[in-house]
Amino acid sequence: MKNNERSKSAVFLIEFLITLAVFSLACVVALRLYAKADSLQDNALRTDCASTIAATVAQELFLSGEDEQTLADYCAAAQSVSDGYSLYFSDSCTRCGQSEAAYMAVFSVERTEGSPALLNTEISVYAVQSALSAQLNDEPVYTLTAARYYPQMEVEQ
Amino acid sequence: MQRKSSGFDTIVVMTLMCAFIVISLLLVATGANLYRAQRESSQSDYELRTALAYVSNRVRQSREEMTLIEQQDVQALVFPEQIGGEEYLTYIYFYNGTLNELFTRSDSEFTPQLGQSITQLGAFGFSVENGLLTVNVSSTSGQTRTLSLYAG
Repeated sequence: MKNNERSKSAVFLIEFLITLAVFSLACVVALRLYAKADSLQDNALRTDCASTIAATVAQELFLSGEDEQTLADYCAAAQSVSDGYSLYFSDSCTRCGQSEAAYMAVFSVERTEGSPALLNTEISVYAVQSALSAQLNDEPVYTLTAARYYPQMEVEQ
Repeated sequence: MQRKSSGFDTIVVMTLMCAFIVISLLLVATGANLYRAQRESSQSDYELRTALAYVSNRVRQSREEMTLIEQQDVQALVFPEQIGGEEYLTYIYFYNGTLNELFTRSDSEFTPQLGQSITQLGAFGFSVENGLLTVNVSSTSGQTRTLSLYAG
């Protein structure tokens, strides 16, 4: 009778340990999924903010591109880097200093050869933790390539 | 001796059971917190994105020059357009915690209460400087975003 009870207890313990093992496995999977979801969410927010910043820079550049002097002034107000010019933005996508920055937008701007009325720009937005190493080919969060045509410049030509 | 062994088994099983319950609760709490945080974040992002995408598309598709007005303590962006020889106006403004659109004939009075709600927002502001429209949007949870648009 006692042996029978001990055997039952051992079977229960084994059963319980198996349940725990399955539960632990499910925990690991769930935690990994939580971490993945969190990282995807962060990434989505960063990309969204970066696309807003790129759109803002493009719009400012296109407005400045109406004449050479304004464009030169706009570029002069930005910090010169090896790939072009850089501007710093906070996490609410407003312009700020380097110390408060959450994003760095690096842009290059050039007129198409033979058709100066066409202004081309490429804007890459980096998350600021990688801003200092942005020149070491860190992946940008978002890149926007855009062009704008100024018909009045063609007429002036 | 057998009694001691049986007592030890019970303690082990009870300990494991307690650990199981505590870890289960922690897992559920962590999951719930994460789900709530993500829901809030995506709701906030949805509000900001909807407002900015709506305003930027409206500005870009406008063929006639947009104006800014302030009537009845409400600031509005006004987009005129000609339909069948008649002039109509589209007002975009923030009223009662929502971004609204009102489409009327140009001779009708601006009545903010009649607008159609686009999305809920915490705040919505804009300014025009040197042909650049700057739109500031805050979500209901307080996140803010700024977009500049070429309004020439």
